[in-house]
Amino acid sequence: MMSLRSVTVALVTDQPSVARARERALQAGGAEVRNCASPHELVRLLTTEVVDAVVVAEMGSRPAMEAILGALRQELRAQMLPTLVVAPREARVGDLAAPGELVSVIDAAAPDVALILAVTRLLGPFARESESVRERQALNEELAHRTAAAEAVRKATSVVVHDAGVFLGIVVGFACNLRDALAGPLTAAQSEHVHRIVDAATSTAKLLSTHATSELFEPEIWTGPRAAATTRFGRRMLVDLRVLAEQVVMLLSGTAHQAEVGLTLSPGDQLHVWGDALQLKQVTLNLVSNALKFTPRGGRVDVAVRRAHLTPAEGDDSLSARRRVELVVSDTGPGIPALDRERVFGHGVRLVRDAGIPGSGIGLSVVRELVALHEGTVRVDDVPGGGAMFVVALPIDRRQRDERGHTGSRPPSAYPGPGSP
Amino acid sequence: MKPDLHVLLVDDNPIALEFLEARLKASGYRTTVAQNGEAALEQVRRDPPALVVLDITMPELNGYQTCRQIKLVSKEIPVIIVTAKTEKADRFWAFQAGADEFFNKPFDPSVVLQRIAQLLGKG
Repeated sequence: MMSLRSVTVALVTDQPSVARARERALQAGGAEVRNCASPHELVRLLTTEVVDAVVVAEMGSRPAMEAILGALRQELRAQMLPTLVVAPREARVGDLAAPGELVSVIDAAAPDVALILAVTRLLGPFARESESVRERQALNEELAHRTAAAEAVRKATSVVVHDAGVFLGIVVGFACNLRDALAGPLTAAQSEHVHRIVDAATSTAKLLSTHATSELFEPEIWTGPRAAATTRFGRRMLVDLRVLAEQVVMLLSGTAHQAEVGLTLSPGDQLHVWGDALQLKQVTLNLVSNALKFTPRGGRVDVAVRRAHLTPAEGDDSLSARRRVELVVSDTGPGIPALDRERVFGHGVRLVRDAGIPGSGIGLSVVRELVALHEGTVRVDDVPGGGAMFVVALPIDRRQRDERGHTGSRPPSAYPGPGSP
Repeated sequence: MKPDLHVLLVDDNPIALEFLEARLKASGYRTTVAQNGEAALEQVRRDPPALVVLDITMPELNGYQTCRQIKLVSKEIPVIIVTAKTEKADRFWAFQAGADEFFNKPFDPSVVLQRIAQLLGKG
């Protein structure tokens, strides 16, 4: 028996009578329904609540339907919520979905049970694995609590950074006055010392402000409305790891340029995983910025997204390997000694080689924690010729997993409902 | 020596701009000091300065609000905002409020002095 118990559906339509009928049908299937009358309302809902699927029902016109999908794409970027379009056969909207998107279409004349079936099939493995409503509420509460705590830490940090800036301003200001002989002429040695005070205080202020405005403190990553809508298991959606890796490479290209390190993304296929795009982006950011930090000038950092690499021992038929996608970040830095490869993921751990390089030893422990939430693993290997290679292995999206031996970039198949042309 | 041009320094921390005051005086400027936005506005009305150096984070009227009010009294008075706030948006808001220049703390007072001279047509 099909059931949408503990599934939350955003129902989007600008026709009140349609909204009532479809809402009743989805509720009969067990779903929690949230009504939205416009793209704007949908976007607002997505930033405040966990939604598992979107049903766009009999919008007045094709442009209206396109506006909804446009809003979804813009809001979700590298991710796509499972979306079902309900439209009259004559509307001929089967081509609304772009390649790679999890969008299905069914005929508006189809019976209610077909609607529930279509949503269930769209959700795929997720529907069967979804937690109970109560557990979800508890997780949302816990997350709201954590979000408030993170926001408090961010505010406190920014006050400290501001006040430190004020005092450093006084130090630098008076030191500059001394330097410029406002308090009388200086000997060569005194002048040298004052220059050092100005330089050190200026660098300290720069370090503080960089820290306060670093990626980790970006409000949209930790404390924005998005984070509030994330459960412990994240906002599970279809995440295109390759698009995500592209975004991170673009984001850090300036840092790489400054450090005179080449940052590249190896060519490859689109590969999807079920996961939380923000958390996976954090994983990628931490690994790549880490690699950039430890790679000497003139070196290279490469990011790759690929199907799991099979070792000869596993053989071609290894089920576990075929079910995994790997995110690989390799560098030409000093590498990590074999003895330290497990320890390096510990909280607050810094290695001997890290002396003189700023850092807190937290980035990699966050990586391990977030990867574990996705039922994945992370390990570190050698790069032939020197350097470290971090490999994050994540369970592949089921639709791609089932394409045995197929390495192309076929989009996840959409449910061919009776309304499909 | 600059001929007795009046520069008003506004910061809730009385020490924060002392070094700039010393440098301005050494260069022949006349300086006055205010520790909040209200006092600054009163000063602007009573003894209009040639230029104002203004902090953002102050109780009651903040730097942006004070800047707007000063520009209402006289558009001709240049305002330089100095702040230890680190968000990129602060620069944007400063110029939105009508500021003529923006410096992050800590800053080199010789650079700010150069800019003051420029804004007063003495550079």
